[in-house]
Amino acid sequence: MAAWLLVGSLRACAVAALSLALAGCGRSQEAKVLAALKAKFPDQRQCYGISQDDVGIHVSLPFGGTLFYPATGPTAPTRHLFVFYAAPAADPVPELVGMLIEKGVLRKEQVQASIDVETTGLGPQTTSKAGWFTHGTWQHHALTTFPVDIYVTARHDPRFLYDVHTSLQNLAYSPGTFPSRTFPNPLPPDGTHFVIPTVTPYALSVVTSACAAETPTDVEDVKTVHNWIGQSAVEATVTFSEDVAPWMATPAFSRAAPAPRQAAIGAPRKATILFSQGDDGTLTYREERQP
Amino acid sequence: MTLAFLRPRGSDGGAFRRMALAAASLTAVALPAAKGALADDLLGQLIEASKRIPATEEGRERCSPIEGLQNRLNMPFTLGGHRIFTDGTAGYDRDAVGAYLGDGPKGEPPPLFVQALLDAGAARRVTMTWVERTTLPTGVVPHLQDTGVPNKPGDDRPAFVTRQATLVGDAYLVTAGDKALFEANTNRYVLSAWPPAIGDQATDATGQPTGPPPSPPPGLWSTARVCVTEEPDRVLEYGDVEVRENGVKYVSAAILFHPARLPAWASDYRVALTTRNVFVPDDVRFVTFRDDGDGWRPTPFPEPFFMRRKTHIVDAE
Repeated sequence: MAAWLLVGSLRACAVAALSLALAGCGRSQEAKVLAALKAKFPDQRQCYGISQDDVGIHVSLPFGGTLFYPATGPTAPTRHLFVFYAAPAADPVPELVGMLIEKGVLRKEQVQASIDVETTGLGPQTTSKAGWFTHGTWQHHALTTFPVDIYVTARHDPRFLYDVHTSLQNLAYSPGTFPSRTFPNPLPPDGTHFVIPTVTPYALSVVTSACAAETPTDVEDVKTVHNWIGQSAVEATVTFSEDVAPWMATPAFSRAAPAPRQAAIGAPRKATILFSQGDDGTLTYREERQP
Repeated sequence: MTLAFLRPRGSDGGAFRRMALAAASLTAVALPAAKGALADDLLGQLIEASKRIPATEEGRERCSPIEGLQNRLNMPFTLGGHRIFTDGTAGYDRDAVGAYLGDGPKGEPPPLFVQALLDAGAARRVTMTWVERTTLPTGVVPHLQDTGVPNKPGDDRPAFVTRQATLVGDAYLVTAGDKALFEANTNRYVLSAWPPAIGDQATDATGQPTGPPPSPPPGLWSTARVCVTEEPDRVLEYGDVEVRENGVKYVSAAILFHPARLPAWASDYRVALTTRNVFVPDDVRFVTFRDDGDGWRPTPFPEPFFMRRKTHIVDAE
């Protein structure tokens, strides 16, 4: 419906431009700037990258060992997890995670990870004309299980920016695939080199940033500028207000999002933005001028 | 004021405005929540359309070669062989049904995969007699003639010499129930069967049987690959329906598939050891559908990028 309203106003503007040869269409330049911003970024957000120590999946074994997870519950192959943080339950959680649990932003899911390792060794030696060699032996050990806490957010939470990994594209290179054994049978007898078939959740979204909705509140200094070959554009200075969550305006979050920034988290942002002007006077977002 | 650099070359302002209007209508059509009737209708249509994905390896089938099954006759019986067949062995005649996994000399252990199927009862071992029958003119058979000169009229030597050799071995056949899991390979050897015993067959003057030549049992195919067809179950996650520049509607979804039949021996470690990961009980595939106006059809190329935007996740009931 919104799209058709937009089309209708475009037509009206075109008629006005033809008859009056004016670029006004009855709207102020400020309103056209706001309309152009709304058309370009319907859900504009400002995101703050969080340190990799405070988000992501921090469960792994040294030397490339594989952890297996249950094929039911949060790590079922039919699940798409929106993970904020995951670590062994014995490990202390970071400060930010603890705060978000208190605020009710994160939900804890616990799964049992099992350590199954395959050890290799030197078997009997054999000599041949080419020299001596050994037959490798393999042994499968199911050592132990330990609980892993997975802290998940709501699905597609607009407060967060996610890295999305799908089994069709890049799940194998994600921070954690949560593999589960396809068939929970006993491991094969020793002496057999054997790749245990696994199945993973089909998708995984891992939080990388926390976001605040941005709303343009003030437009000033709208002017027409020309570049060195004479093409014209419209430049405006727009002030955005940021709708930060209360937990983002805390020292704990500030420590967890340590990237250098121009202003404090949540402070209004002022940007110089370039628009191109159509025949009918409507503005189209081109780029944001770097300060 | 016109911005010439924004316009496509060779088009006037009116055409550009029409293009802009077309672009303005290219917005994604947001669907109601997953519980809505329209969404349920769409999900049912997508499942129905998924059943039209061809049951091939490029479609909804998983295939894997089987290690250990050589693509050749294992019996050491091919030197100069003209007619190698089995002599009406019980269990291997013209009525045999199944998939031919291979054969070998008596007592030789079968490959791991075959042994797993034997233990599960999905394959059977047929012990039988291979017969190689060679009929040649006497003149070209060595050691059976005085000179190399062919027969002359009045010679009392037979015009043809037939030699017959037999060997006992085992063949491994998948039972009829699991036959559909094995891909038919027409280039691969299947032992021919001749229903009547050799001694019972009428022969002509050359010593050759006059009946039809031995041929492979029609209900038997040779195989070296295992293939599993999967059936769609339900939609797990889908994106917005979008109308693209060509006026066609597209939607992408992550769909849960199950194997049409998951045999009990799929969980045997020897099967996993000799095949790739073919038996996946819960397999999630990404499928992109298009609607040209006559219903949703699957496209051959899945587009997983819809997962980057806000998707609709369908919970299991």
